[in-house]
This record gives sequence, C-alpha cells and structure tokens, in this order.
Amino acid sequence: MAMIDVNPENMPPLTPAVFHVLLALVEGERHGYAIMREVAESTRSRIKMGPGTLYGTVKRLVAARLIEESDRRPDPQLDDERRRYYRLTGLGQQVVKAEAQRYEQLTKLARRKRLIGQPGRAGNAGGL
Amino acid sequence: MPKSSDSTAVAKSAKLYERLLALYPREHRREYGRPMAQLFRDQCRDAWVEAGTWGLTVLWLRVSVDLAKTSMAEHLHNLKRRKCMFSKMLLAFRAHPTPRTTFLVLFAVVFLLVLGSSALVTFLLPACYASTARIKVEPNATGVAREQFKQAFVAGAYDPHLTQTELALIDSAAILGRVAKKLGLAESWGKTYANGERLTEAETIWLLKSCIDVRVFRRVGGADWLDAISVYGPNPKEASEIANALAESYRELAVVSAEESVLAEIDRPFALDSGKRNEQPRSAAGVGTPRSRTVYIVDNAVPGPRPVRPNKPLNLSLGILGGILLASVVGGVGALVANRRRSHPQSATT
Repeated sequence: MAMIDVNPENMPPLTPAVFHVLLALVEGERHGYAIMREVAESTRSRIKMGPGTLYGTVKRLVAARLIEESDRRPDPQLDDERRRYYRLTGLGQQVVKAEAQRYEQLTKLARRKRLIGQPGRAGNAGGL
Repeated sequence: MPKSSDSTAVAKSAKLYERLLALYPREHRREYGRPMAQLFRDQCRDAWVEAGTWGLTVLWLRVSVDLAKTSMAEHLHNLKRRKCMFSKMLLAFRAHPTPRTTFLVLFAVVFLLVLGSSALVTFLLPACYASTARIKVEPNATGVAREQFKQAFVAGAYDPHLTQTELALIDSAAILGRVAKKLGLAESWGKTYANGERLTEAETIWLLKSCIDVRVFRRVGGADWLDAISVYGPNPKEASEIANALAESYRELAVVSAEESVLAEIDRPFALDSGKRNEQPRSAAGVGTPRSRTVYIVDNAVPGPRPVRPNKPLNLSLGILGGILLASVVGGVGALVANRRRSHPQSATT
C-alpha cells in the first residue's frame, strides 16, 4: 500500500476491513475502540474486528499515509487520555471517496443486470 | 447476570491477552501493544456486561482466531519487508553503482571488518598482569681487580658483556629451577596447562623463561646498577611471587659467590708464593666479570592492579587507524573500477 493511485479506475479495490476503517473515520477523529464499534454498528455486527485486525489495518493505513494519528487528547475526565486518536489524511479522503464511487458503479451495473432492485423497492432482488 | 465491569474475569482476561501479545513481532508490539490491550479490555467489559461468562467465552474464541491470524500475518509482513530490502540492496549493486556509492559501501564494510576484528581480538585475549622486582647489584672485586674494574666502568670502557652476563645468570636454569621448586610451579602449572599432570623440570623452566623479562633498569654511582625483573602472567599474585622469588634466589646465589670469593682471596698469597705471580685473576685481567657481587632487593614486586595486556585503547586506536587506511585503499580501488564500468558499460559486461 505504499504507492496508491488515487484514480478510481486504476485504484486496486480495498479490503473490507480497510474500507470500513476509512469509512468510520470519514465523520471525524476516532480512537481504536470507537472505530471498532462504528464498524460493528454500521455492519449490524456482521463485521466484528478483533484488536489484531483493527491495529494491523491501522498500521498499514498509517504506513500508506491514508490515516494519521491525531495530536488531540481528550479531557481525562471524559475519556482515557492514553487512547490514540486517528483521522483521515487528504489522500485517505480521496481514496475512500474513490472506493465508494467504485462501489456505486458496481451497484449501478448490478441494477442494470437486475441483480438488485431500484432503491426504495424492497424484495425484488434477483437470484442466481 | 453479573454486570460488574470490574469483574475478576475481565481483569484476568485482559492480563492473559497482554501476555499473548508476545506472539506479535517486537516492533508491532512496541507500537500497538498498549492500544491493542486497551481495546481488548474494552471488548471484555462489553462482553461481560452483555452476556457475562458466555460473552467472555465467545469473545475469547473470536479473539483467539484473530490473534493467531494477525500475529502470523505480521511476522510474514516483516519477513517480506526484510526480503524486499535485501533484494533492493542486491539490485543496487548489480546495476552499476556510482563510484561514490561503491567507495562508501566498501569503505564502511572494510572499516567495520577491521575494527570489529581488532575489537574481537582485544576482548578475547586473556588479561596479562605484570609484576616487577628491582635489585641493586654491587660488583665486589677486591684489590687490584676492584680498582681496575671501577676505573674502567667509570671511563665507559667496561666489558659490555658484563651486565648481560649478570642478566643471563638471573634467568639461568639454576635460578629458575630454584624458583620453580620454591613455588611448586610444576604442580600448579600442571593443573592449568597439562590436565593436572605434573610438569617436568625442563617444561617448567621453559614456561618460566617465557614469562620473565630481566633488564638493566639504571646505572647508579660507581660500578653499581639496578636490574628490573618483570614477570608476566594471567595471575597477578603469582606473577609477583615469581618476581620476588627470582630476586631472592639471585641474591642467595650472590651471597654464596661472595663467600667463595673470600676463600679465593685467602688462598691467593699462597698461589703467588708458589710461582704463579704472573697469573692474574680472570676478572682483573681484562676488566671482566667481578668474582663476586652484593645484591640488594630494592623493591619487592606487588601484584599488578590492572592488566598490562591487551592494551585496549591502543588496540582499538590501531584498529581504527588500520581500518581507515585499508578501507580507503579498498574503497578507492572499488570506486575506480566502478567508474570504469560506468564509462565503458559494454566492456564491463563482455
């Protein structure tokens, strides 16, 4: 992940763990536990990241400069001051946006192929 | 259902997980070990609050798989990164490096090798202590012999072999044998050098000779001089004992010699009367060795406080100097070759 082409057409697909971590940080800075909870809530507990997976992903994203550690330290009375907060970098925002667009294109394609229905219409997804 | 977040089970689980973090590579652990442990503790509290023991059990099952999978992945990632760095280094050498790079790399490698070798040798060499006893020698030639000897010595026309002869006497088999016997060196060195078997007298004397150094320390007034008897060895106490025993044995021999000399002087008038007037004593004839001498022990040897060999600062300085010199030569030659290869790449490849 050291060299990432931010052109959505050329960019390699992100793994689900990476995409979910990036998505969790779109709304702002979060610490590890908050990212994990956000991922679990947004996927209705289908993806539950363990500490190893979460921090392995964080490590690679920091190395690829998609996210960075924030200097912000919360009020010790409100939160544990030892927690590390992470936020998206400019590059990270471009990449997550490009990945979302790629998903959008795929969804459109799937709709054209009638694999899934139009938004708002439930229960008409096609099967294989 | 137990709902206390301070449950012992949570604390024990967190502690166990902290220990299991040892499965990750050290770098990863150092960077993310603490937040990982903190995250797991939070997960444990949630699981405990939601479903008690069952919640913790499910969490552990999930985390065990996560731990095994990700720790292995981190190790593989590290391995791949090292392999990648090594490949890059190899490629940098294969693809015509610049003369500057060649010089720097060769310089660094040769310098480190030389310095490392000198450091290794310096620190592997056994420590050697020195102890020195000082003795004063007064030649006791009598009568005509003494006067002639003294004049010649002061005038600088003394026999140059005189002091050498005396020095040779100190490390002669007679004195060394006496020292070896006095200190029981055949037994003690046999334990060290011959698996406990007693050394022969010749072996002991040979070993003893190899560790002593006798030299004229200073000439003092008249015909007298000072000798320094230095003994080197791994044991400072033993070295000082040998030096003192050597000085003592030499002094004892000198006393015996003096007694013989006195007896010879008593006999001399009788010899002159019996028609041997023209036969002068050998020592007086050509200002040779006096017939006896008095030996004083000026300084007793004491165990050396620190080893004299290896001289660590000297060896390391020589290693640095030698390393710089050799590395400059090798680096320079390498840079020349690299320059040539770059300017004539085809001739270099053919």
